[in-house]
Amino acid sequence: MTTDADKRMQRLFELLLARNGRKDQLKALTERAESYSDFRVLLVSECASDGSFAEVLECWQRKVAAILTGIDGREMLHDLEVLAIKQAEIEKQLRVSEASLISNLRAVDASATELASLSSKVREVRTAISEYRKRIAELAASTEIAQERTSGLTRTSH
Amino acid sequence: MVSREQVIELYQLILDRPPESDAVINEKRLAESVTKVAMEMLTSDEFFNNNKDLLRKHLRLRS
Repeated sequence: MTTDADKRMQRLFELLLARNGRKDQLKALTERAESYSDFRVLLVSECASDGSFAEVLECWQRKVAAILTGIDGREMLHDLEVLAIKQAEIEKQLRVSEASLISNLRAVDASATELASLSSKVREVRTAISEYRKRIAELAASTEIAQERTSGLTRTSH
Repeated sequence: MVSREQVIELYQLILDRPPESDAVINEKRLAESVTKVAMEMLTSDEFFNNNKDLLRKHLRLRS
């Protein structure tokens, strides 16, 4: 720190503490302070702990608290607004997804019905094919018997 | 009674500026002590606004 700052610190210390100020106290504060402005705040805080200047410190605390409350309040409101927007977006997406799901379920339902109907038709066709095969086999057997009789009659006539 | 020089000095030491007028100096001189004048300046909005960040830092550290 500059000599000018040192002088200012010493003078403020003398003015505020009058005859009560001790040199070791000034030295300790000077060492702790990073600047003259820092020293002013430290000095008042130090004096407040002894009782004097307590109302200055209380005044600063009230003002700082008011700022912090204001900032916290504003930040909280902003966060709530952001959350409300996100919630609305999520609800909208949810409604779209729900509509899409219902539509897909209906399509699946329709496909299942159609599949059941097709399966039934396939069964009918299989049954019919099986029936035709049975009749063809019967006809083939009758034809064979008839041919054997015909050939037997032919041999007898010769 | 507080002297004119003391008021001017306090202005420089606390508010980092000279007093705006003689009327202000005379008004401050009516205070019962130098400490009272200093306290008035230290609790002023001007001092708080000029040292806001520093005060926030210090008072947060203390709490």
